[in-house]
Amino acid sequence: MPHRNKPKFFRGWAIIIIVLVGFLAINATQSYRALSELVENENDANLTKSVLRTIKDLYSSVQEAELGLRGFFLTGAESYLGPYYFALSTIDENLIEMRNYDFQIPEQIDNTKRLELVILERLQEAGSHILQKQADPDSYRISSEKMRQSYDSMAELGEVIRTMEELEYDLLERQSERAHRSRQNLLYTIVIANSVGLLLVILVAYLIRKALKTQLLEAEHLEMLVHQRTEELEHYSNELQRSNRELQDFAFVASHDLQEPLRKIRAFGDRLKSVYAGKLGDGEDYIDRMQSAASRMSRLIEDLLEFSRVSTRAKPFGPVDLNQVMNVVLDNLEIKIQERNAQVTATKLPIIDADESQMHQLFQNLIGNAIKFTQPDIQPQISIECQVYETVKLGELENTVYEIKVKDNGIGFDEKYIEKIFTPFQRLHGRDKYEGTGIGLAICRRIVERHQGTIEVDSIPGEGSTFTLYLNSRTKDQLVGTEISPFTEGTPNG
Amino acid sequence: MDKKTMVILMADDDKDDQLLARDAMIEGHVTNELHFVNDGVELLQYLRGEGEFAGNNPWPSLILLDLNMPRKDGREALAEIKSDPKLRRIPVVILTTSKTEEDMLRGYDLGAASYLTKPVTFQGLVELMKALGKYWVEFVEIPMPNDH
Repeated sequence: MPHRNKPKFFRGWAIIIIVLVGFLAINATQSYRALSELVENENDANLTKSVLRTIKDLYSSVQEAELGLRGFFLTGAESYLGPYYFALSTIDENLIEMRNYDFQIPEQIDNTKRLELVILERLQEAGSHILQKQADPDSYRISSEKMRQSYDSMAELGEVIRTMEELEYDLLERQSERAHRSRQNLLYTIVIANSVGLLLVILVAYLIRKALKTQLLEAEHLEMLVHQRTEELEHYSNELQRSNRELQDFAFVASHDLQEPLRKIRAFGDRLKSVYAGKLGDGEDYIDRMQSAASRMSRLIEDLLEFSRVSTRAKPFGPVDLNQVMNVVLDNLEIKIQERNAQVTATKLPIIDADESQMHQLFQNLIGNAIKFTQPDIQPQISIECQVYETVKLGELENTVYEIKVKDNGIGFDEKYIEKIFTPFQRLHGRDKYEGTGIGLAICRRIVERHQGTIEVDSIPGEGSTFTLYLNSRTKDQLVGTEISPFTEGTPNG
Repeated sequence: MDKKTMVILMADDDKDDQLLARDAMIEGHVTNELHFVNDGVELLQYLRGEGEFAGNNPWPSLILLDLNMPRKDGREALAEIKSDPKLRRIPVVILTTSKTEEDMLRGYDLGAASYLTKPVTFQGLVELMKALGKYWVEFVEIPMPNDH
């Protein structure tokens, strides 16, 4: 069965998807890290570049100051001191900048201090030389010793600057390498992320397709199953109808053919009695008993035939006025009603969709029973009442279920026998007390069931019985309009 | 012709019924000759004077026909009789156990003169034979085979 390994199948795919999604999450973290590294690296690189610029500025300012100084000393012209002082202020700014830098290379802090020291020393000395030269412009000369010192300090300065620059350039290179690496990483990460994403989309699409396909297959399978079941049911129903028909044929043929030998028994019994009248002695009583048994059997067969005729002789349904049916039935029972001095009252009855002759049989049996099972000293009172039980709407058609009660004040019976009285040939009383084979109510139930109704009974011994019929104004066949009841031989009207 | 010599032909496969019919005729003082055939095939052989019935087949004035018989049943035999110009004027009374409406309607459709069901009691059979004798022998005018 395909739906049995479905959970397993989907669990496998779920694991794959979870792994892919996890991979994507890791990838996203990676790319975030790479990106922020790149940003950080750029900040670092900017700092390094700024440091390099400041160092350059500082160096050029110092050189400018030196140039101005030398010009002043060589010419004595004060005008050279202008650029010198300007350079001083720039140097000052640059030194402040240098001090404030957050160096990535710890040595640079020492280098900066050394640079500051050399520059300040040099400026201090230069300052004192300027003052002396201004005091004595014509004769003041800087000693060659001092000159050499100034050269040395400049050289030292240059060296510190170079060292610092080299360090910063190295750093810049490293940073650039790192940036390159980060970019490369980022690139890989993005490629991988996209690939995995694409894979995931393809996978999900594949899974959806597969699920849809499975669903389609499942639906097809289900449809096939339904079809199969329907066929089975149809087959079963046909089989049932066939066996039902066979059983009815059997009952009909059996009761028919059984009558033949019985007829002979009775006829030859009659012959025996008439031809040998007066010569038989006690034998005549035996013949009477034999005849009576044969006649009873004949009755039983007749009734069995009647019972089977409910379906074998069924006629198509048509509108039947139950008031007319009741009139005919009461006419038929007229003599018995008068004999028992029975009082029969009937309310208005409906017109329903039914087999008319079977409705006659139904009410004749029920009212006949009510007249038959009376109490000796009480006037039989029989009432037939009808009311609407419910109305069911089915599309445009409407079906009314009527509740028809046939009530008597007869001998009644114990309700534990309810099932028994509706069973063929089940009797509650001895033959000598009440005649009949016990088929009447069985036929009633069969008729009612053929009409898709129900029959119920309430009874109290010594007080009477009430038979309640629930009959449809329209049978289901008519409402559905297609199926023909397996018991009807023709098509229902409408 | 002498009505008392009119022959009645009974087609019935049941020997008991043949015996009972004869007894009932005697009991009912119907003195006509009663001949028997056991099925439809024999019935037509009798009427046509074929086989064992050659020269031994007094022309029947009335045929009592059972429906359910072996070889050729009453319905087929009736149809054949009624389609034979020489035979079709013989009145055929169906006497059967079948009470089905279908059989009755079909019987009349095929040209049966009456449709009777076999009485359950012997007395009933006697009454029936008496009535048949009275009606078909005393009152009804029946053409003879040479009438045209």
